[in-house]
Amino acid sequence: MGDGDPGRERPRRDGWDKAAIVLQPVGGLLTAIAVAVLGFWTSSWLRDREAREAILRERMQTNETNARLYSELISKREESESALRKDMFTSIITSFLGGGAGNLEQKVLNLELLVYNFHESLNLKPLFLHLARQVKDSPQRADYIARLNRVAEEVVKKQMLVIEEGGATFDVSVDGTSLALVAPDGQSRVPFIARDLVVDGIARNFKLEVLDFDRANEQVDLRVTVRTAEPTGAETISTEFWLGHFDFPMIDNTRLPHDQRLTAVLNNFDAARGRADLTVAYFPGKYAGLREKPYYDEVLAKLLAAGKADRAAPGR
Amino acid sequence: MRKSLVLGALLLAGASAAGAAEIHGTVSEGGKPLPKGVALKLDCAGVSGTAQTDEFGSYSLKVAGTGECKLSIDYNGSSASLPVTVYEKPSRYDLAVRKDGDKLVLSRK
Repeated sequence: MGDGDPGRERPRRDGWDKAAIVLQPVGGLLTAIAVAVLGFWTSSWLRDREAREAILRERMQTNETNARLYSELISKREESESALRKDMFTSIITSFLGGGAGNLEQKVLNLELLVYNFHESLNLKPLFLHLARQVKDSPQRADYIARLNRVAEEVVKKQMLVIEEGGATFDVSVDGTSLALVAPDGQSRVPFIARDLVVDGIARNFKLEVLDFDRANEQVDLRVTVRTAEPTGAETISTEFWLGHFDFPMIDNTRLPHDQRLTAVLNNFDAARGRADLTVAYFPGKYAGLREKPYYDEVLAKLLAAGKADRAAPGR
Repeated sequence: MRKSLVLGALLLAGASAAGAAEIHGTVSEGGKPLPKGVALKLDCAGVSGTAQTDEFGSYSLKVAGTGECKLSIDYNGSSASLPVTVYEKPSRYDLAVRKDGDKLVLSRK
C-alpha cells in the first residue's frame, strides 16, 4: 500500500506503538490463558470443596451412626443390668420381708449385698436399724455390728467422695456434754456454727446447732438453718434431723431450691467422751441418689437457662 | 500362762485400736496450701506422732492413743497449737494458719 502512495511519508512509530503491535495478539493470548487458568482454578476449588464437604458429611454420618450404636448398646446394657438388679433385689429383699434366711449371718450378708449394689437407689437405713436390733442379743453381736458399721462407713465415704467433687463442705466437732459445737480454735464451745458456702454460683449461709446427743444409739440431733440471699430478701429454710452411722448422704438429704441438696454425715462418735465429728455438705442435685427425681419445673428452668446461655454465647 | 495370754490379747487389742487413730487433712494459709515440709506434731497424753506436709499441703498424723490431744505446727519460725479429738477411726481436720500480730494462729477450717 505504501508503495502505491510514495508521496505520503510513513508515520514514525515510537516504542509504545511497537509494543502495542507486538502485545495486541499476545494480549489476546494472555487473556485466553488467564481465563483458562481462572476456570481451572475455580473448578478445582469447587471440586476440593465438594470433596471436603463429602468427607465431612461422611464423618458426621459415621459419628451419628456410632453415637446411635453406642446409645443402643448402652440402653440394652442398662436394660439387662436393670433386669439383673431387679431379680437380685427381689430375692434379697424377700429374705428380710418374707421371713426367709433365718440366720443372722445370712441376713448381714444380704444387707451387705444390698448396700454395695443399691446404695444409690434405696434408703437402707431402716434395714440397718432393723438388723442392728436383731443382732442385739446374739453372742456375735460385736462382730455383726462391726460389719454393719464398716459397710455403712465405706458407702458413706464413697458417696462423700462424689458429693465433695461438685459440692462444698465443712467439718464440725460436737461436744455432747454441753450440747454445743467446738469452735474452730478447738477450745471454746459455741451454741452454733455458721458458714457461707457457694455451689453453682448460689451462696447460702448454713447455721448448725446441736439439739440432742444420743450416746446409746450413737446419734446426734441437729438443726440446720439455711439462709439464701434472694432479690426479694433473705430466704430462710430450717430442718431438724437425727444423724447416725446409717445415714447415706446421697439418699438421705434435704432438698433446697434450684435443685440443690443439704446433707450431713457422722464421721466419728465417742460415746464415752461425749464427742462426735461430722461433715455438712451442700451439693448440686445431680449428685443425689437415683431415688429422688428432679422436679419438672426445675428441669424446665435448667433447660431454658441452658438454651439462653447457648444463644448468648459469642461466635454462634 | 493364762495371765500372759490375757495380757497378750489385751496388748494386741490395744495395738489394733491404737493403730487406727489418725487425723489427716490439709493446712492452708490465706486459702493457699502450705509448702512441703512444714512440721506437725500430735500429742495425746504423753504419746506423740509427727508428720510433715506434702507438696499439696496435706498431712497425716498417726498416734497410739485416742481422746483429747494437742496438734501443733511449726511454721516460719513460729508455732501454734490446736486442741483436737482423736477417735479410733480416722478424722479429717482441714486447718488454716494465720498471723495475728507476731503470733501464729491455728484453727480448723
